Amino acid sequence: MLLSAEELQIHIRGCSLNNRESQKKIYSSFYGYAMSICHRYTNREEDTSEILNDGFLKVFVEIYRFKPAYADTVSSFKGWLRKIMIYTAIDHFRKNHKHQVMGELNETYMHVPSSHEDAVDKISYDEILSAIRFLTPGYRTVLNLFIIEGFSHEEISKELGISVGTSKSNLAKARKQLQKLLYQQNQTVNKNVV
Amino acid sequence: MWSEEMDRKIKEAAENDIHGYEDKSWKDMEVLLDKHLPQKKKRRGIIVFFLLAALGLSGYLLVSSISSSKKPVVQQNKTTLPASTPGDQQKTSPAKEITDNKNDTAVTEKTVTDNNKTKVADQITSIDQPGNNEVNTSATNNSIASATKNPDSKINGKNNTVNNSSLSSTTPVQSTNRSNTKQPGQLVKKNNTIVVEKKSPAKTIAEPIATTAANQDKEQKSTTATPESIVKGESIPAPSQPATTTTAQKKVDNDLPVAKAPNEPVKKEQKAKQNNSKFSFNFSFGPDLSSVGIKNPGQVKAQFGLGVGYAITDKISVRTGFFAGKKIYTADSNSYKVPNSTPYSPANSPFRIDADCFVYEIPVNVVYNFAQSKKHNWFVSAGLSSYLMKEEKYIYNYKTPGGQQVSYPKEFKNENQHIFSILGLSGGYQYHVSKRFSLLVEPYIKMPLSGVGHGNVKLNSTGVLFTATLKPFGKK
Repeated sequence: MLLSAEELQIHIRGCSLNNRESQKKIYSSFYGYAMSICHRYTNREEDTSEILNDGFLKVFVEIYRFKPAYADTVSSFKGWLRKIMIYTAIDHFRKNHKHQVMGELNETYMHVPSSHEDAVDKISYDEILSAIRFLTPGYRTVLNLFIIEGFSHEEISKELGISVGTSKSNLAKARKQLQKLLYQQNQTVNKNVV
Repeated sequence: MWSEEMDRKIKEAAENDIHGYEDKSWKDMEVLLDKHLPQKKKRRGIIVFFLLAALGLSGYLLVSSISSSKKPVVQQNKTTLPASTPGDQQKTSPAKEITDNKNDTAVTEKTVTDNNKTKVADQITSIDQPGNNEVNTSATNNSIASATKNPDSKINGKNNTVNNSSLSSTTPVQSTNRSNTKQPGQLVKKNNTIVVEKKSPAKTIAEPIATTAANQDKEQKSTTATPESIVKGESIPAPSQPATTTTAQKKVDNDLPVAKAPNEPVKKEQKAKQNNSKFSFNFSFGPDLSSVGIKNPGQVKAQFGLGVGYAITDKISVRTGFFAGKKIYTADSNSYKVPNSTPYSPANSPFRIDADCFVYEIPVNVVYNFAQSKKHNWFVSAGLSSYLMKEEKYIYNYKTPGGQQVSYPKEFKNENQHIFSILGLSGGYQYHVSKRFSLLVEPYIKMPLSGVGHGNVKLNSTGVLFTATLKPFGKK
């Protein structure tokens, strides 16, 4: 259950003092929220847990610096936590999959008939997220940062150490690949239904 | 074609992604935290425990030292008790008891029976007289060297017939050296008290006592020697061995009193000496800086003082004294209660008050020595001081509406006294130049518990005291 603003402030103070109970309280309260972020950046549970825990470690190390940007302490903290998780995921990608960002130029794309575009409404959230997880790591990261996190290509290029053109290219490819995966999933579902 | 609808869908999918908490995840997290953010062991409790233990120990030492200083000085006692008639009960002062322990030297009670082997240990006080450090005791069968200092000691009438002549002629002296070798510069003077060693309620174990008199009681002669109960490490030769006794004997000044009375002044003198050696006299000087708050530091001025200290224990002592010095500081109107007698109204508060005060200070401090060696020791001190404001000169500085600066002086004499209103904390180092003389350096801070001076300011002081300490009665 998410903490109230007063509880959160109390436990933030406790975490500043390296109090385990406060750390556990914040960890358990924001676990689901943080996991939803980290889950999108990997397709392996071990990597997801690694990104999650590394992110929370950074949170607890730097929590004494946290100051609410606006009146709502919980929202401010969620935003601050979100940024830390994203950058932790980026660090994880740069450490493990950086070479894949540059090497996606020879990918072939499957044309998805436009008649299937109205099937977007029928796609569930789980399918979308599942499909995102199956993207190539480079595509996945760029797609997450651009579409979900709202990074610009300039920011993406700076964070990933790539050019703006490569960022745009990877985004296009990510979308294509996602469409393909969703189409394949849809086709599989239709076949099963039939 | 990719549409914006797809982007929106993806965002909604991300926002609605829900994951449940897993305890296993916290365990992994905890391992990570223990590695990167280990929790410090809770030493606060230990620190508090040690602080409390130190306080308790200090209090215990203080109480025990005070209580022990009240106890009479127990001297080595040696007198010979003749065998008295059975049933004679001879009691010394009510404060003294017969000790069963061979090691006891306090005279308590004597029970004399036919089989008693009772010996009275001479109470010996050592005085500085050269050449007289040999044991010499004498007693007749029925003579008792009245040994007790205590005027309340009760001795049987018969046994109270002290063989004054024998005693006066052979005033027993005793040294702690078993071999009776002379100790340079020491003469052991004898005062008689009774030491009884009990084997059974009806018996007393007599201690061997060196005698020179031929008419020493046989029972006394046959007594066995337990040197520990008489004198530390010394056995008294039997009468049949006059050689040893003679070597151990020496006539003492005939003027030495035999009665109870001499023991008292000697003991008192010894006790007084011990107490006197704990006293010390101090002369101190050093720079002192006074200020009101941190923003307006005052001037550094010299202060001088004389003091006296008393060592309660080896570690704890108290000091007091008298210091004089100037305290020059500045204050603003927020810190200073401006008197209404100034030519300007209280509404037009001075922007600055310049103070020049001459202060007598009487501190009372408790000093704790926490690291001691033969030559060095470190100490901390805390206490309360009294300020006697002998002279206070203030200049109230105002700014007129026209922007001019005007000053208004005001002087007060002997108007303010602050008794035990200044908290002083200090610590320092002491170097023992000799057993009597030592030098100290002591940084300190003083904080008022209430307002000081005419303006009721929070006047803080800090500085360093350089002190020379002399123990005039201490051992060289």
